Amino acid sequence: MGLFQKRDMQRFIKILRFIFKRLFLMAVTIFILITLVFFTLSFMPVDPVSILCGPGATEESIKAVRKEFGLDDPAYIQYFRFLKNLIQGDLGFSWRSRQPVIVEIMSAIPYTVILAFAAMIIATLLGIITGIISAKKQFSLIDNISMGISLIGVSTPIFILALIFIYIFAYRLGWFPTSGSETLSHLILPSVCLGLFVAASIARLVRASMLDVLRQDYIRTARAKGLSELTVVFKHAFRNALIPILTIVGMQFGLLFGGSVITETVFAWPGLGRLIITSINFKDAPVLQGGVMFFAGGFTLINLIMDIFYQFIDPRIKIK
Amino acid sequence: MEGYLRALFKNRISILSLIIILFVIGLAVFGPYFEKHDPLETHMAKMLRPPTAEFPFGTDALGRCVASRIIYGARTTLLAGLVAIAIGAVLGTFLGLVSGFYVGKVDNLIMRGLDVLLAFPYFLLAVVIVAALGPSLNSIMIAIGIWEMPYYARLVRGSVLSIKEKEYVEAARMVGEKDSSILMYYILPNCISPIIIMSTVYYAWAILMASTLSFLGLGVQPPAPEWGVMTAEGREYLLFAPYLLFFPALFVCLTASAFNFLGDALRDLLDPRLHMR
Amino acid sequence: MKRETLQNQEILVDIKNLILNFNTNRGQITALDGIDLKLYKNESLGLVGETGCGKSITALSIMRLIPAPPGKIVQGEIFFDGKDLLKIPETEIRRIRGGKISMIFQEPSTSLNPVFKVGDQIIEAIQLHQKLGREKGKRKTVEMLEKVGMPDPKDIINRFPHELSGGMQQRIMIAIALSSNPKLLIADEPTTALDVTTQAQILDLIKDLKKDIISSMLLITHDLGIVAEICDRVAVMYTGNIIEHAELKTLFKSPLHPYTRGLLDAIPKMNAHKKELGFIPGTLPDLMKLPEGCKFNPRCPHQMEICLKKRPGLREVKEGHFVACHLYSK
Repeated sequence: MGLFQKRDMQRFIKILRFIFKRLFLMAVTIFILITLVFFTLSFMPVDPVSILCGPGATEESIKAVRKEFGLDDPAYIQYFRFLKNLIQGDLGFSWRSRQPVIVEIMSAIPYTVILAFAAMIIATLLGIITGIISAKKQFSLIDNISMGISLIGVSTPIFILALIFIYIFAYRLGWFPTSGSETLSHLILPSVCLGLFVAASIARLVRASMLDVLRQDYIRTARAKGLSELTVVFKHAFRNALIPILTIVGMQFGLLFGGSVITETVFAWPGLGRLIITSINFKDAPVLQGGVMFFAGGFTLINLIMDIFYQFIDPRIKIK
Repeated sequence: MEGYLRALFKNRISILSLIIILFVIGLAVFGPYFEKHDPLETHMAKMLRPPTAEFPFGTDALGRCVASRIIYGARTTLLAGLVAIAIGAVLGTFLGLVSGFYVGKVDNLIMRGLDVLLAFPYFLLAVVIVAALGPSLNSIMIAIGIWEMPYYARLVRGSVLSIKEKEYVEAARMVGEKDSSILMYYILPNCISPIIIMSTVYYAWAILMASTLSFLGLGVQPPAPEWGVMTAEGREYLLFAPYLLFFPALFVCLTASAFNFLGDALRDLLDPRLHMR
Repeated sequence: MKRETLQNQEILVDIKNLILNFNTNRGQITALDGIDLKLYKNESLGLVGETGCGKSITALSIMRLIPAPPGKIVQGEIFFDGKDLLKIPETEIRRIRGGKISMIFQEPSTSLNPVFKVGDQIIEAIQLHQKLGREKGKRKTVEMLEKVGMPDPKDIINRFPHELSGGMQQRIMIAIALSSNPKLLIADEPTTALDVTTQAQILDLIKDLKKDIISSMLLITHDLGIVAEICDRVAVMYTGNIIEHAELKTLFKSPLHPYTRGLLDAIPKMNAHKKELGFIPGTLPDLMKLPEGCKFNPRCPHQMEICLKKRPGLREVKEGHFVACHLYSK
């Protein structure tokens, strides 16, 4: 007997078509995104010239600078120039550091990726396990405590959580450094902080999802078959809750990325989020623009991957 | 209705949340009558004092009374959140109604548009808008409102889609009632319930966002009192005057938690499906 | 096959004075109020009653499938194979579930796990109770599917539940339940959720299987017509009590309890002379506010003084015919 049956092949082709359609959609979304960001930021109340030239600049140098950066051209020309440059991978130069924006972004991305990765692993493991246990032992002390903590976790702005972490673990206990990025121990505090923050959200939603599944008739059937509780929960229930759980985890990427921006800022972790915030404070428009586009674009891409992954798992989904 | 209220009161945490909320609101409204110090007034001779009788929460680096700053900060934060969700609710409800009612191309267009907004992770959208408008209280209210808008829109659209199918709506249509009156009198009233329930949670989000943005320097600017700003200011003195950071942080957490707990309880009670957003 | 008299028959399941409470947010409800029931080997017992009388709960109790926080068995014993099912350890009852006692449920569409292939769900049961390898399990699965009348079993095993019709889903459930050759099959309203044609098909299937692999069966239903087709004995339940049980023909020909009479009167008959259908006046009592004495007394046309004060116990009035009614307790 062959590995794939005809039905599996047909399904595979449907999925491929779906992927292409979504890729196209994603491209459109990103395009609109870029345009939106460009025009929104064009309202920024900054005068790049004064930043670039510094105080005490002469008339000529101001004029020259304006010409060099094409700041006198109408908006739509600036826009098209921007797009042209974008395709060539040129995002302009930072007004602050004079470095190519691309370079700054590329050197910041790895840090964000590492932080996000570490935090997501912590968040997923902790969140899912807590959620499942809470659901299985509904109304018990464990359930109440973990859901209470989760709710507080969700209600605490992440910067406060970060500050608490710094206060307790760095200042008081001196276990970890407060900021910087050289060693592994520099990573632990921010990733645990961000991870817990997202875990709180995941735990609550996983619990709701599992409770819903555990109420279903087929769980009763599974028990009536004589399967052990462990099998019932982790095979029958979890497999069904997996789909909404994955959706939940996928939705948390937004929380994760957004949270990483703040976490990086508080812990001075040199990732893309911190780059964006400092660019605002320094009124460095090109970096801000490039950074936001990358961030949002990357996020959209990840959403797409999650969506595709999701298609593979649920046999009930009709692929349009 | 009384049944719901009674059941709500049975839950101890809901009661606690309500108490906290009322306390904070009371603080914002009546606080200035009790705490006489001006939040902006500096007492340079008495700076960085721990809590005493004269200054219940201590003084900050510029000798300002932390307690009165907390009180005025309460006003700012609560109001900002309110305006923000009002903006989000109005815009979102409108879009949701139109989208859900007219389905088809219009629905597609609106939803795609909102998807673009949602393509921004968490609060990056607010950051962009604030950057464009310049950091201020108004900017964050608008930014948060726009950020909340898609959530309201999706919520309302969901409600509209399910109500649309009900027979009394079809009956109204067949009698020839105008679309706008159908929307207003049949559909909208049924959406109010989930809107109100979710607004508690969205409000908590708005408060968190507002204080986060201010903390990052993107919102309310110093010397205006706001809990996020105060936390940022207090950070420098974390080591020897932790209360500077502690009090505003505590208030943000308490208020947001209270609204979140309340929203949770309401959802459990009235419409558990809303838990999945 | 000629049936032996009751005295010579072996008891398979013996439920003694089963009392079960439920904690709801309105208070405590007594769902089962002292159930006494005997199931015999090689016999099909029909358990009938209105919705909410506790018949499904009785069935679930046998398998100890009542969720423990809201439900609590306060008293009683359920003897099977010489052991009290309510007292044996968890590991033992699990071996019995799906093994010696199997159950099929009312809604086949929600009772099958939607994310697993149908064949895998059957194989799972087979492997659990018969310790067969994957290949042997698969063969047995195909065998079972043929037994329950599935067309093209080799294709069906790769399907998901939502791809099958209600009738086919129920056949799958039956295949799962019968795969271990259980001593007792409990069928909880197996055809209620199906359309009439499919109902007839499944009933026919069950009748066929009765001659083959089903040994004893407990059929729960509210439909006396189905009982008449399949069962050997019938027990009637009312708000948590068994109020009558007897052999099928006896019950239908000479029902003793007023409630049973009412139920039978309500069935439209071909050669009836009456133009109207009979009905039982009143409604089921609120489980929080049960009447004193005999629970049926507010609706009973033969209500006597003693009915208001004392609960009638289940008594053998004629051979093999038990009733719980003061009319017969002289």
